[in-house]
Amino acid sequence: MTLQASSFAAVGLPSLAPRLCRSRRGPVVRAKVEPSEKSVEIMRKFSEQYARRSGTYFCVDKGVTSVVIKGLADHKDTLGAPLCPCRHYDDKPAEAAQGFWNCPCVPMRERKECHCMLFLTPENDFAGQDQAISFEEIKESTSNM
Amino acid sequence: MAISLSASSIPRLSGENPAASSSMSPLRLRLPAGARGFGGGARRISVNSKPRGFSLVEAKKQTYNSFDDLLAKSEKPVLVDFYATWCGPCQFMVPILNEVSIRLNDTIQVVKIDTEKYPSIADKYKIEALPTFIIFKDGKPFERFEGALTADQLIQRIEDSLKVKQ
Repeated sequence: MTLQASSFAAVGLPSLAPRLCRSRRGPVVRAKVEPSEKSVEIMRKFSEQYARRSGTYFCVDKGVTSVVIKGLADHKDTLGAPLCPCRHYDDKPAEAAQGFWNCPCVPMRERKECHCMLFLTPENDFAGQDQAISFEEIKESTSNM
Repeated sequence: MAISLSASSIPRLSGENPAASSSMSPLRLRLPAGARGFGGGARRISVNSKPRGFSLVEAKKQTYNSFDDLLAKSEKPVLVDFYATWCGPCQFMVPILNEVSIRLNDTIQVVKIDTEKYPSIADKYKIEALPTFIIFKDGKPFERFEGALTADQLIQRIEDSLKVKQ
């Protein structure tokens, strides 16, 4: 997953202002804040249990599952609650306190709607067969982010 | 996910240093500090000692001062992907957007905006669920839709949209 990585070798730009210029160095990988392993493990276990309990399945592409679990873990670390990582918020702490979008969110609890593609009903095109995912799997799927 | 780092034709608004780009390499925007909003700082390695009005040089050696500027100056419709780092479906779309950008190179320009780095832009366009895609035509939102889709579906959606509302 390329996300924050500057994977592009830019053409040289002599006219750029004097500032750190990466243009001649090729790919640069930026360090990105990672959620704590403890939180990832908690959200991993939660996801497995909740998938079983709700009769839903992880995405055929476990990379999606892995990213979402890490996103939940990241919010748990920073906000104290696993706020849905697939939404834009005006005020994250307020939302975490309010709870509607804390995983499992209200749409999921009421209608099994998970737009993060974490919990997929069997008839969903992207639903796989698994209700389990290992810590290793999460680590490997997100290692190139 | 077997997504590899590779050169891409997709411009990304991610708070990085500006770079010139050919038509096959990305357009990265840096906005004036005020436009960045709050909260993105912790995750950004930015060397932003430049005052407002810095410029970014793009493929055709044009200068953009803002996202609005990019929209205004684009000759083609622009597909904007509003995403976040830990949004699974957004990451799922990375290779798909690469493919679509190449296949529809003449039709549309693809730009990605990290909503955590540019919350003010995300607020402006009332982004809620991620990913949200907005097709801009003549600098204005023209069509929008949410959620991940396959390359073929996305191409179909773009083509239908641009054709019908011509």
